[in-house]
Amino acid sequence: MTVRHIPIEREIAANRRLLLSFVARELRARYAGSAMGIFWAVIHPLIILMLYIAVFSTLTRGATVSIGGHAANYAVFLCPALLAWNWMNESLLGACQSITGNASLIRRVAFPVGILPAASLVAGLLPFLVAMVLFLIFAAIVGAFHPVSLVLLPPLVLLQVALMTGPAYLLASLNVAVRDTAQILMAGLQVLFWSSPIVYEQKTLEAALPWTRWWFDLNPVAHLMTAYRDVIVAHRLPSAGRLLYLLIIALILHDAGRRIFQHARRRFADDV
Amino acid sequence: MMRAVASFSMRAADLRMMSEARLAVEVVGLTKRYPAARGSWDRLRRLLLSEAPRGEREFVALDSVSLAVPRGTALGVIGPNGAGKSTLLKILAGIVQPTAGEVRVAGTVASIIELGTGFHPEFTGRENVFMNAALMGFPPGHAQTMYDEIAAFCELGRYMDMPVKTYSSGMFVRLAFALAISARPDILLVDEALAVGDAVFAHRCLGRISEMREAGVTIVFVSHDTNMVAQVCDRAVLLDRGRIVAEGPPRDVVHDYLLRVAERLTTTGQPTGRLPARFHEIGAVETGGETQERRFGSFEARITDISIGDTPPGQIPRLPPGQTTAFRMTVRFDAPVQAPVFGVMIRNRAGLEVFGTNTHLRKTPTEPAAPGDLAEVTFEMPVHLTGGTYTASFAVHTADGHYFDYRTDARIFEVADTPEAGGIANLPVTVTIRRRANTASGPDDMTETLYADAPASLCMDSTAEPFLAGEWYASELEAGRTYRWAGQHAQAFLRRPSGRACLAIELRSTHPRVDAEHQTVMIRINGVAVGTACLRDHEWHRLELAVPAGDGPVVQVTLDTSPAWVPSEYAPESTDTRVLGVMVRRIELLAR
Repeated sequence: MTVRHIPIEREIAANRRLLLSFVARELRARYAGSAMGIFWAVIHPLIILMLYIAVFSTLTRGATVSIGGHAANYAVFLCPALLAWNWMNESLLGACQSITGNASLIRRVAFPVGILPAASLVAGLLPFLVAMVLFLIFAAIVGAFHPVSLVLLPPLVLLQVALMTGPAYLLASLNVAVRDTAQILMAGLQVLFWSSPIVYEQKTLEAALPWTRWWFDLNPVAHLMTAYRDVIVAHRLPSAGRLLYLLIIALILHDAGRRIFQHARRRFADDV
Repeated sequence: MMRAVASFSMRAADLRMMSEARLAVEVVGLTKRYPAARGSWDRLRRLLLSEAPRGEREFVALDSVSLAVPRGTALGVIGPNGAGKSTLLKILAGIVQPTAGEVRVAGTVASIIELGTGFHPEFTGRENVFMNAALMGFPPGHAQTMYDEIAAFCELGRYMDMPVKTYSSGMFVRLAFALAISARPDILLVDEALAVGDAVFAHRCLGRISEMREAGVTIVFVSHDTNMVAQVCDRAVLLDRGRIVAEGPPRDVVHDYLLRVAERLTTTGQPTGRLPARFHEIGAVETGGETQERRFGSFEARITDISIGDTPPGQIPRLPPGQTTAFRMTVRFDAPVQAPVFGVMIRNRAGLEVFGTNTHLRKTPTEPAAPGDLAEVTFEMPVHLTGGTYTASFAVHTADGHYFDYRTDARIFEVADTPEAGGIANLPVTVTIRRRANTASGPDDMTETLYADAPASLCMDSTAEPFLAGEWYASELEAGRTYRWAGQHAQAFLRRPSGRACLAIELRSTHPRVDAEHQTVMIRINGVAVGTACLRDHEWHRLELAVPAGDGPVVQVTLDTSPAWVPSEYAPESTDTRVLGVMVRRIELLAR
């Protein structure tokens, strides 16, 4: 018997209402019942932010960080990258467990499993947008806001979605076969966090350790974070090479993730 | 639950072919193998490689299964645990992908699999209903209609707004079943689910399944409950170790299944002593009736003769309902048997087990038997059955389930018509009806619930309608004021004002000869007479009567009029045959 699965895009389009109810469910599970609701999406990074400011401003003696000649205080420097990272972190962890976490459904219903990793991505996107809007208001208050950010930010967000889609479907499939995937992913994300220019500036580390340059050149997260800073802190278009590299990486990951997922899904009901 | 579109690549040609063949489900050479090695590393290899790793051991859940289910019929699937029943159903539902073979499912499918259908444990009952409606492709508007229907059928009340992880398995099944039937599928797949529901709900579900079947829905029903399969299904298949080993009318397949269970009990570890475990089966012995006897056992002891009542062999006994009748068997022993057990079972025409018993259950002592011994065993019992055809089965076996001789449906017998009773059992009934004095004062709880929103004042227009009981006629108008004709016995329900109250009532006699035959109206409040009005003219009268103290919020006012009269009896040209009491314009309770 030939089993041909419909493309994931069509599956998502056909089940968009179902996808939204899963997104709503995930957000409610995360924030419902807590007094401050979705504002935890802001409070959480805020606390981390203050911790980093406390640690790093002590280390750097309160110096400002310079990006492309534009001086900004550390909060403005750190926030865009930290928010983008949080979104990536939560979405990939959520997507990784999206199939195994819905085992009771998948075992009993011919479920459009293709929507599950997507639901995790969207569920992470909303708190990111809320936090980002609040940050831009903050940036405006401290005088670090420029309207050009508003124009450049949406395409960048879309680029991040494209970058995460492939890994999300890949991880979701892997976690069905190997349950350790989620644990490995958590450790891997920690390594990636500290080896990407999120809390520090790429230049600073390159100055201290010149060999890190090749890693930053390859690491798409490094390029993505730099692109966010270009748009929000330096108010300029990221370099074409950077964007092209990110786009190519996104396409490769996307293709790999989709192939593996479509191959693996026929066994989901057997293995979850 | 699903529409059978997502994962089956069904060509239009297939569909057309099936509709011509009038098959709802067709399965050809269906095989499902699960890899026996289930380590992470093996799963990862299978994920990345298209081919299964070489030399991998596999567990065969289904082995070249083929079946066809015509549209509008019910197929029962029975078999021991691990036979592949659930796997088959999951493949039909499109949940699990087969390893090989073809599956064609024509139409929409709803399934109840593994204690409920696709429920998200964190979602509430309501959210799960809407999620499943979306899964089945129903628009939100229709989902609301479905939800109302489901909530009404499963009667889970406020639990509908709680996460289903808090449900008991019985509640799970209620919701799953209600969901499945509200989807109005072309094909319904049911897996063991009804076994966990409570008896009343299971009965309701069976009723609904029968209705759906009559409406042309195709049903595939997996169950351990052989009785239910016999009752619900047109045909049955017996699955054993992934293969179909029997197929046919449910009764025959159920028999086959019981035979296998008996055989397995004898051959697998059960303490059977020195008894040989070879089984024989003799099928389809003609017994003169329309039923066919099936017989199996090891035959160290044999049932050589069977009789019901005094009916000579070859004739079908016709028993008057309730007649005490001897069901007798003669057993011949060819081997020593320490403690033989003798049993009898009565089934109805549909194969439903009506009554069965044996000497072990009844703790009737049986003597050890030596080779050559003969035993005559008589079960004498009143046949409290409704009219119809029944079969009697006889067996001799051991207490731990070794069957020497099991003669299924060995004799057929008829019970004469019982027009006075329905169902299967005809229980001896004594009906007594006697009049009882009503000592309770005032409305009961139910009345108070029914008339909870009664006003303190009733004007006899249409707004009074919900609070009137007994005999009243439609409201009419006289000089701009509405009134009603009360019959001989009329009641009204009113809200009691706080504190002491009095009843005010405006009424008028209707009797054409009231001056000769005075009309009296007895007025009771909550069953206690509070006054009598004697009407001698055709004028409106307003009465005010003290209301006895009470604590209920609702007051019942009763008007009994005598004599009542019928217009057609007083005026020959009238065709009005209503029994009229008095005219009533207003009834109210006033605080004092």
